[in-house]
Amino acid sequence: MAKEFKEKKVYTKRNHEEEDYMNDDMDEGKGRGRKFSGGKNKKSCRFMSGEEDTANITYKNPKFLSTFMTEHGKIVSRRITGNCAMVQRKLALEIKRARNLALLGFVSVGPNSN
Amino acid sequence: MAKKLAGYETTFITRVDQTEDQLKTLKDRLIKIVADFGGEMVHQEDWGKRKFSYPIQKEVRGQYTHFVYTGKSGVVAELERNLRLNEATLRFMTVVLAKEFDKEVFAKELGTGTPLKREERAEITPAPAAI
Repeated sequence: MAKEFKEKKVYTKRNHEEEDYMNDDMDEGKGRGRKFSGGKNKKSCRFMSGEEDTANITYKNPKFLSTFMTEHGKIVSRRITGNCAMVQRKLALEIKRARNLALLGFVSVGPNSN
Repeated sequence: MAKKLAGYETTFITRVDQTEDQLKTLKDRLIKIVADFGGEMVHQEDWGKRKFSYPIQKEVRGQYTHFVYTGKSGVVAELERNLRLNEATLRFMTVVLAKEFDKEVFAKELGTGTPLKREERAEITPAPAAI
């Protein structure tokens, strides 16, 4: 009799754990982890899908590069733009080249910035 | 077949108060350096006068010139040394285009504005036969 009881207890505990795990998955809205879960809203790289041309990613085309920068001149992260890693590396390199030639600005924040 | 030379592109910025003759003297000098190193000036482009995003040596505008050329090793060092000596040069930047530069591929890319696909590239320069 005692043995049986013990077994039952173990079973219910495990069941609870499973339930908790499932709940975490389901209420994405309020749960932690919502912020970082890709899933539904995952963007695909607009260069790989053919929407944009990778040939435009060059320091000779600062106007195009500036579309991947904030108004202060920061490079926008992949999390926002949805670029793939390869494209983002190239973008960062070319933006830095353009900055060297004064075609693009460095990050400017503060009262004295333009 | 002779081994292909490396390809480079250099962009340099000169002061806007330079006369055309002064700029031409500098350009001619650079062209001569490229020739001295067994290279070839493939493409020259004048980007005109541009406003800087931030002042360089208290200048707010500059004259941009863009060169694409080939050459043996040392050509970039010599070219940049000359640009450094020139007081009208505000800034310069060199980028290596390819270790083995193909003029025809570059000319086609310049025409279409997009890099060639691997197959198109192979048509111009056949891949070395497998041993």
